[in-house]
Amino acid sequence: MILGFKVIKEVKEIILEQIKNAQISRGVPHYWSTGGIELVDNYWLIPFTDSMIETVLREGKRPLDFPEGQQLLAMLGGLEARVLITQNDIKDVGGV
Amino acid sequence: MPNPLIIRRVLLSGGLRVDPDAAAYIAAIKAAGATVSGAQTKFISDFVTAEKTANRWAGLGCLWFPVWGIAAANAICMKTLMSGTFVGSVTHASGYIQGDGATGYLNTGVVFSSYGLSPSTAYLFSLTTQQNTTNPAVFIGCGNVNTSYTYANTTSYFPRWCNSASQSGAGATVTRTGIISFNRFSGDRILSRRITAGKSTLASVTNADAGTLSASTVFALANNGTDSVPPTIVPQFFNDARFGAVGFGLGMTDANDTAFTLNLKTLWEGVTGLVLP
Repeated sequence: MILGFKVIKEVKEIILEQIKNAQISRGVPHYWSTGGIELVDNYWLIPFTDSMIETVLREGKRPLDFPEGQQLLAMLGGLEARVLITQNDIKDVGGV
Repeated sequence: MPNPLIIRRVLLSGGLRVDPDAAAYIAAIKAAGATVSGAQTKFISDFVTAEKTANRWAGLGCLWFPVWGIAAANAICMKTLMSGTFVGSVTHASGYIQGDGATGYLNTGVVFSSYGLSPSTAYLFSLTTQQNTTNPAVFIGCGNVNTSYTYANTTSYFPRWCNSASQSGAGATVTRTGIISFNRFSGDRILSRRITAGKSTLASVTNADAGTLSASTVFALANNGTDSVPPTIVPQFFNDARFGAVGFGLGMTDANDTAFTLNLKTLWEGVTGLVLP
């Protein structure tokens, strides 16, 4: 089970680009991203688990300690807008 | 009079001489918020010094040492000082990182060929302290057709190098913790495991070069399931083991593999205060 925001592909790309820009605009490398997972119904999941919320990113700050983090969260509808998806919801990526 | 070009040491307060490459790494992770003690500094310096003395440092491509509890610090490669990107849910604990097995991995941002790896030479290694439960679970690598990685199922480790599955050596059934190294060198493909009790060979095959090295971005804690060049990525085969170190470089003699993994064990145990399984 994965907790995150279910969005269309275009929104996923905007969110990930904003996360990247929030880092490089501060003169640091792009060291963290939520990533996006393609789902079987052609939507995408932006994972944002409770563990990710608590991740110390840099200089003692967590994702929501940054103003961009709060802004993106608001765009996505807040934490209560997260959904739970299962492995069956994820597009198959084949075997080894 | 000592030649400063030969004796390249940085003298810090307290008289601790630190290797300059170690010092640069420590400065980078401190800038990212990591706290590094004098004792930890010495362990890192001693590791780098030993690798240089043994002429292995130059052949080391990348080493990620994610023990700092901070994503930005953990993403920094000890050798190159470049940063990868942690993606998804990865726990950054003191002494290790752990992906959730579904979304979390490290996009290293590099490709194997940039570091001289080829069908004839490669060294992939990972230090883990808790077994993976996901299956398959890739430790480090990339590839779809040109599979170039180490991975495990729920009982065994396997190497894959340049889509030569039949030539890479059979997997070995062991507890999947410790330092796993896959070494392609001088015709040999050797899969080894080091734990506190010592180092053992899990699989060994001698054969000619075969296959094609994947041109895609290298991932750790998952596979990048494509052979397309960057920026194309296909995250898959997520690994939920606990990682204390991961990296790659050029192939080396088995004796050097023995020495490197012992040095890595000393580094990780010294810096973290933990004990390798």
